Amino acid sequence: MKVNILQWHAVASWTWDAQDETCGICRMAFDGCCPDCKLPGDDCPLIWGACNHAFHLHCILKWVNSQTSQAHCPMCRREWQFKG
Amino acid sequence: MVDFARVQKELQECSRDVERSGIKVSPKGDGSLARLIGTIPGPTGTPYEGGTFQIDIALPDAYPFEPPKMKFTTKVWHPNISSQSGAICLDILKDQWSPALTLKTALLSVQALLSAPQPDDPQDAVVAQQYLKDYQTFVGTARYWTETFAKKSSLGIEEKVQKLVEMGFPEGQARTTLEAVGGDENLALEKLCSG
Amino acid sequence: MADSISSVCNLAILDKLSDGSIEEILESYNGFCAATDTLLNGAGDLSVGPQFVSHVHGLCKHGLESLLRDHFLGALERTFEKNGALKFWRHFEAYDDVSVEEEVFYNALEEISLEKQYQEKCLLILVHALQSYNHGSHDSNDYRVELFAKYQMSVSSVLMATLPRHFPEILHWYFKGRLEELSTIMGGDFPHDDDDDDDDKDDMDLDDKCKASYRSGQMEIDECYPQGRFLDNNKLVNNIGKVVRDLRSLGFTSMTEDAYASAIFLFLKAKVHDLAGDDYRISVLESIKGWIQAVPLQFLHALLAYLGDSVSYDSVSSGLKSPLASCPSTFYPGIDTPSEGLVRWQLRLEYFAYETLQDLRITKLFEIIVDYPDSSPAIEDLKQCLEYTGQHSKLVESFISALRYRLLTAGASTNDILHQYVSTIKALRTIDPAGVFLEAVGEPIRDYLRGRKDTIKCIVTMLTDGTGGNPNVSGNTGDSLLEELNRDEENQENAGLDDDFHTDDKQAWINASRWEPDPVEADPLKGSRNRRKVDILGMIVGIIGSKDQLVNEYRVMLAEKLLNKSDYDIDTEIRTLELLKIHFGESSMQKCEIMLNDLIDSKRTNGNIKATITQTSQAGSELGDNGVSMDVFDATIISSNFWPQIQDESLNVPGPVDQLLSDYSKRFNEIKTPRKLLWKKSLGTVKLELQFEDRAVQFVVAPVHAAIIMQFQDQTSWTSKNLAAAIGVPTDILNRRINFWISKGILAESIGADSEDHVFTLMEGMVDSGKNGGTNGSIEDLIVADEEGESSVASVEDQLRKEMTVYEKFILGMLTNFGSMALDRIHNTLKMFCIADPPYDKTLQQLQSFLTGLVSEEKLELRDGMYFLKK
Repeated sequence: MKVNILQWHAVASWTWDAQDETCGICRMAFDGCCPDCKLPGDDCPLIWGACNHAFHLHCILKWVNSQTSQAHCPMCRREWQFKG
Repeated sequence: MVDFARVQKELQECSRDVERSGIKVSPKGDGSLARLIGTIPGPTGTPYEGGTFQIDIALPDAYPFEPPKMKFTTKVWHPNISSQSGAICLDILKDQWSPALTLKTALLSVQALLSAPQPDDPQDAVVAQQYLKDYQTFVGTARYWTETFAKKSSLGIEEKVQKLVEMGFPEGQARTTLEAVGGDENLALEKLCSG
Repeated sequence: MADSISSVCNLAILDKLSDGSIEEILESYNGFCAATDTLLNGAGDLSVGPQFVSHVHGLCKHGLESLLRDHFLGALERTFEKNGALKFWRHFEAYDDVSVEEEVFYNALEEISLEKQYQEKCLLILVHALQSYNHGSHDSNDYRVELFAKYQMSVSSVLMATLPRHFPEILHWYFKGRLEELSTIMGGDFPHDDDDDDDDKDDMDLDDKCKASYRSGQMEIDECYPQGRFLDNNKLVNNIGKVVRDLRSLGFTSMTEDAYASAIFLFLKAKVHDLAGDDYRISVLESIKGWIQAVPLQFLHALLAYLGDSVSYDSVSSGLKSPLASCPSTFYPGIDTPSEGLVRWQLRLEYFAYETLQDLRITKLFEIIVDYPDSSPAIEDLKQCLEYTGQHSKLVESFISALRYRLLTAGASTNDILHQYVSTIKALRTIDPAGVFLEAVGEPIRDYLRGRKDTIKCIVTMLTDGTGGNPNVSGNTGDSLLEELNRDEENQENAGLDDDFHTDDKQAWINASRWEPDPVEADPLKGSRNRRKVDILGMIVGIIGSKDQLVNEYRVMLAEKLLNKSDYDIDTEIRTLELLKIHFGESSMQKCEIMLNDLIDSKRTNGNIKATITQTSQAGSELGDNGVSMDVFDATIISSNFWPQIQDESLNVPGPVDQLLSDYSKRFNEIKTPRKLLWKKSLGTVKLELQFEDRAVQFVVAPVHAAIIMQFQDQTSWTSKNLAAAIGVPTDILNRRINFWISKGILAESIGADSEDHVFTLMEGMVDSGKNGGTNGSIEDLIVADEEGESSVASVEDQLRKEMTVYEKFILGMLTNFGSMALDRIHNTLKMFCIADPPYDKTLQQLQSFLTGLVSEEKLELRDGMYFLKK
């Protein structure tokens, strides 16, 4: 007997390849989305700082924009720089 | 607009290890999550030991991008806490705030402040002076205030006893149990229930 | 006796009398008596008249007027009893039952009427004699009126005194027979479905009637039924009219009226039953009303007209008035102004018809609702009847007891109950737009459904499945709830309402402006005055308690469905979701929306990855033999945070497939960096073909089945332990899953050396065709592996169980302290004390089902509604 695969439809889940599971700002799962987004993934991406801490892009932008002076990383208080 | 989803999550996380940390946050009861009440136990080995301190929490609209406004509602004798208004002098509640901090971590910091007063950066100058010049008197006053204001009797204990009695527990048992857990009715109920 | 009385009365006169006078009186009296006898028994011979008159005058001379009057009336009475009444009753003696032949009836009535007419003539002679004696000193009419009244009285009393018991029934029977005849005559322009035999018979009887017409001479027989229209001077009605008139003149006025009224009502009842029958697909109310107009009202109209409409019970002589005098020449309903009496009759008949039809429909309401919407004409009829009679409470009581007896039993499937519930809502909504009775009727169904475990599941299926979830009715669009949702959606669009249903101001305003008081039958404690519009979905959600539970169940079912798709076709699901969003709000359906979006994204990403992938050379080289091409590989990539908990089991997929998985995820990682894939290897579908020497068979299976069968390519026999190890699943799972192939006759199971270790062998070339539907290897021969209970998604129950476990300690603690607690109390206590650990937000139903679980685990006991710790 020989088995011919005619179609194999597999299932996977995606996940952000990050150290943490949740965003330190909104406390939502990275694999979920920030409070302002409806769809996870491409629509609500993660962003890493030079310090290697990750946040929802929308969350860290809100933080950076709320600071009058130089913003710091919410996790380590180092000056926030987007990872190039 | 306060990020209520996050606040809700914080409340859940906080209550998950309330037994270990002793730190509790609950809604003030006006149906909004913007006004909360935090509770911290006085750290052991300090004049605040055995006391339960209530902290009024008001969340600004921009929370968590702005720090929560916290002040003691339980009177406390501490160089960095106003003996009059309960205002707290703590950097993370001001310019050192970070959105990665939470209500619980903030309250932990407040608790740590009770353990480690910073008389050089006082909120209450009188207390700070006493702390620096007459530490023994400071300890005595702080302990006395704790006894007077931060022990169960000051927290409407009768109401709680009544509530437990209504549920069918004998009054004496309800009272002793409440005392044993420092007046926390949920803890008391749990203790009563687990026999 | 009359003699003795008159003697006593006239004693004073006797004293004054001379012998001569006495002589004269005796002579006159004897003569008078003889003449009276002769006259009354003379069989129409009036020749004794002048003699009679002179004797009367002779007696009157002596002031014996009253004596002779009494004697004459007494004689009339005796004669009437003998010649009239006894003969009359004798006609009916032969009949034990009431079915007296019409002819006999007419003859008897004619005979007695003739007798009576004759006696009236005789009485008239006396009246004239007295009048002529008195020369108008008396008002002539006084005699007349007085004597005829006395005579009428004695006729009635004689007849009543001798009345056979069954005579009223005979009358009833007679009228019944005539009404049937009339109905047949009207049958020409009236739809009815009597047997042909009956028709023939009736027609024949009628012909006979026409020929042997009773007191003929007024009508042309040929014109009996012109165009089927029943004319008021029709001979049949004339006959009936005469009968009624004769009976009245005999003093049977009320008995007659009772008889024809009851005949009419019974006939009407029979007609309603006949017309209504068990066919609910046609409206019968108009036909019934038409029939009332056509038959009984025509009959009554003609009858009343014949009798002069205004009924004078004391009418001296029927012969004095022309029967046609007061009749309009023709009767067209609605043109002539009907008399007051006729209008009353019409109201009585219609009320009776409404009530009869209503009772008939109410007793069959259960069946009618089963047939809904085909039966909507019957519902419409019932609605009109109830509006007329106002007997809604009858409906509620009767229907509830039918429900309890027929539907809410262990034998009925949840689906059937739900369908009947929906049909009930739809059907009763017509009758009861405010939903007040519906509330009462729906309550027992909802209560019952809450006790069933599969209710939510069935509801969700019913809501989202186009067939309405009813396995018995395929494609009956009338039953589809989706359709219902559609319609509601359109209504909402038309009304321009926000999707936040119920509560917005606009709706409140509409509700307020539609307000009307609840009907008196409604229980004021139940039913909300606010919800004026019957909302089917709301009533269904009401069974479950909260929409969240329903949404949750839908999500689980949706996940199951989506994970088993081998393509990305989700058009139906999108449509369903859009509808659900309208009804449950966008935010409730957020997670489901993301799930669907995952499939859309997956399709795009899948295409992208496959178009740009560079397969590793190893995979390419193996393709010829065991390899699997990326061409036949697809993947669904899910955002697991938004999906229900997914039960992923370990599985070693076949090497070539594993290679594809890692190539695929590598490419994904390149395209979507820094995102990566986590394979759920046991999930998905595999379409494969087993190629034997002589044939090929196709299957659609789960990956684990594919993994199992692929192991048999190189090695045709495996022990369960080895096979389990090879594909990386626990032995017990393997043993369960492998049953699929055994049931298809592809593998055979035998006990190996170790009794614990089963041996599975490939059944090369000897597949039992009985087990396998088709072994010809046709492309259509796809068999989907469908194993019960092998769900890849955690059920709502499992989830609830998990969430509730937090409270178990609490509940057990409470019960330790209190001994026993009722469901409500446990619920309230949890609500009061579990405000943040996590906050207790379960419904009473959820708590109940959790406690039921604890009972079945023997942790708790339930007695008389109280929960105890199991000792």
